[in-house]
Amino acid sequence: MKCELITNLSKDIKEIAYIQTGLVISTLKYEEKEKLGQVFCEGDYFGLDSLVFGINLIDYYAVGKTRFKKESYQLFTELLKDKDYYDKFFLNLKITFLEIASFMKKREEEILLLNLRKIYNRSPQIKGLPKDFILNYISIDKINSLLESNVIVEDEEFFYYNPK
Amino acid sequence: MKDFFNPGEILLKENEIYNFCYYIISGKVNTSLKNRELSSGEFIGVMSFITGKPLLESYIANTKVEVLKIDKNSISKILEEKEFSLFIEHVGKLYINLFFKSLFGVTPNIYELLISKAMVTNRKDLIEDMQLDETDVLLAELDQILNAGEIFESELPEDPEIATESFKSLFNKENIDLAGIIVFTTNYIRKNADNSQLCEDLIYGFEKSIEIEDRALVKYFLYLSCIYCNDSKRIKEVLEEYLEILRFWGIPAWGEMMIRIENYDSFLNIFNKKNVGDKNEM
Repeated sequence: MKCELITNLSKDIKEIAYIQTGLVISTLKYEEKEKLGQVFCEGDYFGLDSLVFGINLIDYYAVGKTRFKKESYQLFTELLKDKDYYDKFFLNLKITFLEIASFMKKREEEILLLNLRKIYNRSPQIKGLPKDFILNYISIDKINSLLESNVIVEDEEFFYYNPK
Repeated sequence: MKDFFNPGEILLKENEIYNFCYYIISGKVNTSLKNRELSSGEFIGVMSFITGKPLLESYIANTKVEVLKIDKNSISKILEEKEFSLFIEHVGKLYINLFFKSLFGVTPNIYELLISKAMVTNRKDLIEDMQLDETDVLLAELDQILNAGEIFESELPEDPEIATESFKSLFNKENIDLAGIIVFTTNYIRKNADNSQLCEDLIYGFEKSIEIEDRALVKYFLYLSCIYCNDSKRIKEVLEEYLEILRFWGIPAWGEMMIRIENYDSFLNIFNKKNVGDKNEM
């Protein structure tokens, strides 16, 4: 399954995205290093950087046939007037902040595990992360240690969280 | 809804959870942990408001403070206002900072990241916007400071050497008169704009302000030195020397902007175009 860099967010105007189906993985580059960030599942908003700055400082990749809708800044502020939308957005914002804060001082493989666990709990269709993509960011040794301790499992294409 | 606090009053207390945050309209607020000074245009307590987690530090009024209280109800009322776009921008910055801190353990310079990303993705429109936005903010702040000096007039010694000595002596008194320094400096610039000694005197004022630890005065002389010293290399040297102190005091924008010489030049161009600080009129 392919992971495709999302390039059509905030191309002309400031926008935020809302995932309708599928999964989005974020990555972050700093100096010469690039690391896996948080994953976003159905019902999650992503691209706060895009909404605020009109450009993504974080890279977002759509996994497979992920579908998301974009909301312009203007539409977003209009929608916030609705109480349900407001509650949904700020609850999602809270979770997004707490998730990324929970990565602090964690090793790369621990972050992968947290992401896989989220996908296991939250993503109804895609249940893991594509191996080809993940191995660009995390070394096989670190993945092997997770596999050996049986906290994740694999098939030909994906790594999965192992709830057992 | 606006709230008001007197000096010494606590706006928000550490370890408490608040379902609101504040936008500072006017006045100065100190933080208890890092002893940072926050002023108008800044937000406090946003992280706690978003996450529902306790505050890590207290916020105490350092002067009389006027704030806008932002909570669930008030957000819906300010959606079309400047305060909401500033709020959501602040949230975006917090998120980016947290992302970098969590993955790399660093707090990035977001402005530099934006410029660099805009260049990589060939977004020239954004680069120009960002530079103009930053310059406008600085110009507005500068206007305020320069106007403060316009109110007063004072007599100055005719002899430039005596004027320089009089200027320097203002910093060596037991009780420093800040208003007196600003009034003297404004008039001093007005009469000596073409004097090459002016640049060194303003830098002297900047360094002395650091020595006496007066943040407002540091900012004032930083602005003036950057504008009235034609030797950008000299300014760059001074800024490089004091950049860490400026960062520590939370005055990074001007210092960091000026240190990038291309921005210094672009700032001067815009400054001159707008005729702000015309040497003969100041």
